[in-house]
Amino acid sequence: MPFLVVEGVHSGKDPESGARGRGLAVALLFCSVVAGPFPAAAQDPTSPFPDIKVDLSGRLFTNVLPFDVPFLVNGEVPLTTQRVDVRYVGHSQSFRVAEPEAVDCPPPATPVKPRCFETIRGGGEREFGCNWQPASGGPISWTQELEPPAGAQTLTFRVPVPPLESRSYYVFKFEVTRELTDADVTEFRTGATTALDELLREIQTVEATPADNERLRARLVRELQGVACPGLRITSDNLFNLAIPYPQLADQYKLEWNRLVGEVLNAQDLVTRNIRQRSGVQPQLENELDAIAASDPLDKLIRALKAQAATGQAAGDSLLNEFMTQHQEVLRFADLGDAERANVSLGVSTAGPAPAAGTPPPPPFDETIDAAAAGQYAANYRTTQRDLGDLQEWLDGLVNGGNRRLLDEAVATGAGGADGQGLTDDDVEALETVLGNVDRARRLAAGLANFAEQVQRQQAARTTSLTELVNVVRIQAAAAGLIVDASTLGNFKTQQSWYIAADFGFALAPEVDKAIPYIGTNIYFRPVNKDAPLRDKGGFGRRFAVSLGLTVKSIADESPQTRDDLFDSNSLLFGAGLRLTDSGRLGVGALVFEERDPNPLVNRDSLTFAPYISLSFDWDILEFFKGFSGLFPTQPPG
Amino acid sequence: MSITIVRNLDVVQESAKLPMRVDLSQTLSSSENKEQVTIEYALNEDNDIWFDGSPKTKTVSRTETIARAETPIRHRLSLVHGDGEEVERAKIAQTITDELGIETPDQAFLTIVR
Repeated sequence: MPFLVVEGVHSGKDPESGARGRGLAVALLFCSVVAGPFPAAAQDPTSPFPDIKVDLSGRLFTNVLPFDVPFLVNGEVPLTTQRVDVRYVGHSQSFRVAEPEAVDCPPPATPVKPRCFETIRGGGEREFGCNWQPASGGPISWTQELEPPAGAQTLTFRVPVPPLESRSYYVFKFEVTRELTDADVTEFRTGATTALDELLREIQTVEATPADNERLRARLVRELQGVACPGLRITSDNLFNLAIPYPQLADQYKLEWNRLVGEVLNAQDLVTRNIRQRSGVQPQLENELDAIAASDPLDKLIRALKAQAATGQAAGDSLLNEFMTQHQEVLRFADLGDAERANVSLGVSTAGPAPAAGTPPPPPFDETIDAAAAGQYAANYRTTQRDLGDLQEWLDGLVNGGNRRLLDEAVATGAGGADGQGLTDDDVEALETVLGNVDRARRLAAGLANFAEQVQRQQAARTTSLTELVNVVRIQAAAAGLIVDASTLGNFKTQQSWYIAADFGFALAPEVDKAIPYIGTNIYFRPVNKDAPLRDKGGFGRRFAVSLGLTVKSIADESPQTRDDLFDSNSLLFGAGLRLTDSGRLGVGALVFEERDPNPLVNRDSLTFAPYISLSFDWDILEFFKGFSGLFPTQPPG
Repeated sequence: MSITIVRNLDVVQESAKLPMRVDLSQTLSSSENKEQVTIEYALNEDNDIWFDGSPKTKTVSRTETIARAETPIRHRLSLVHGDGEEVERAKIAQTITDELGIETPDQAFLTIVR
């Protein structure tokens, strides 16, 4: 292929203009190469990740943010910080993020999107759609796990940030969460226990369908969020994560949910059932007590025995008197007045003195009764049961047992008859019925005692289960949100829409018939961060560049001389190329040199363009080649 | 002749994938030296959990003699799915009827795994 000749452009006949043009080209190339590759952003070249500091108190980054590569953000936070969450929004124009002044409390189940406003010409603003990033997987988080060094005044957090876009503006949101105090936990648990107590008390059954569970879980979480507000938040990393619908909860969480809630509901259901049973049995006890108290034969028996005891006492025989005194308490059942029977109906023992006037009645035996009050009922019923047992033993001993002799003597003497009619054989027969009344009353009292004990136990179990449920809820302090503006175009080097890199390589021009080493510069038409691997951040814009270079060895020939360098011992290359790897590129273009007329009689040089194909490499890896080649300078020219 | 529940009814299995036999345990005592009681287990009429049998039933009865001393009770019941509303948490209601006719309630629940 013949040389492309542009005659008269840079002719030897016009050395002055040729020198100006050459000087300009050399100066341009020189400046480009001397400047070296423009870095993507300020960064520590010894670190695999740029580490950018943020000043949260000043709300600013101390460096321009890099683009196309992941990087770290570090900052200082108070010692009480437990967690830092980082989100960000990016936009190609300057903008601001507006969040609601008053955040709803409890916060909505799904995070509210920020409102973003970009600046428009003339000073106005226009809203555009935006969302906090990362869009999935939650915020970028740092959690305080290690003890801070002794004497530390602050903590340093450090989070990784995914690659950002070049030439963009960013707004970062740092949510700083302090650690919980014991007072926080105590206050929350007290409030949560009260709230869940009321909420679960409305549930009538232990049984639940999946839909029941889903509804209850949503209500329960809302209640808890209400208790936590405004200073605390419910964390959503377990079964209280409403973002996960109940049917999609992990089995372990469903089991935990059913166990925790089921135990509370089971206990309160048992309370209800026992209260219901008590209300049915209580009248039966009252009826039996009525029958005992209204029993005329029993009254006659007691009067007769007391009369005999008095007679015997007078005669020096105190045995019967002791017998009657020993059972004096239980004999009161034969004489219960309405008020005393009412006390028994409330579970108040018949033993001991009657309640003083003005003593408040015991709390009603319903679902609101607490464990202690139910326990008091149970103890009283047990006392009643024992008293009735004693009465039964006393009466059974007289009617069927070893004390029958006393009964027979009372019948024989007719003692105790107030109106002259003492105890008769018919009365003795009726005492068998009274004995049945006493036996049933005793057993009913035992049954009532069991009901009361069950209520006592289940109320306590419910409280324990409720506490366990509340303790499963994890809380954290509400985060303080800090907005920090940033960009990836903070200075001249990064705000340009192009990127210049230096490289070196070999050009093969068939017309020159040898490989020509050169150094050059590549101009990209978009920002390029060479630290970003092409396999991750590829694309035509990051690969394509136009090239301008200088040969580093002369291409002039001799005997006969057919070509000469464009400059003293250098020629110019220009063309374009594509990066094939992170460091290597393939290029094509034209080699510019001077062609000498082969006719020795003609002294004329003409500017000539010869096509070339080149393979070049980043200046950064020049060291690799210097070891076995003296073709290239050890320093960039200049 | 009255029953006291010393230890409440408990299902050994916290969860069950039906059909499955579940073990129920409990400790009772009587106010008498010994007493025969009827123990009835009942499932909610509306749900889809049934006691196995021919045909399936919603109630099962057992008879036990309870002493004044603490008397442990252990019953094994087979649960199966049947007609009714699908539930995730099912209650097994128990009623202990003593010789006097006093009905003492107790119950347990378990999570049904589908």
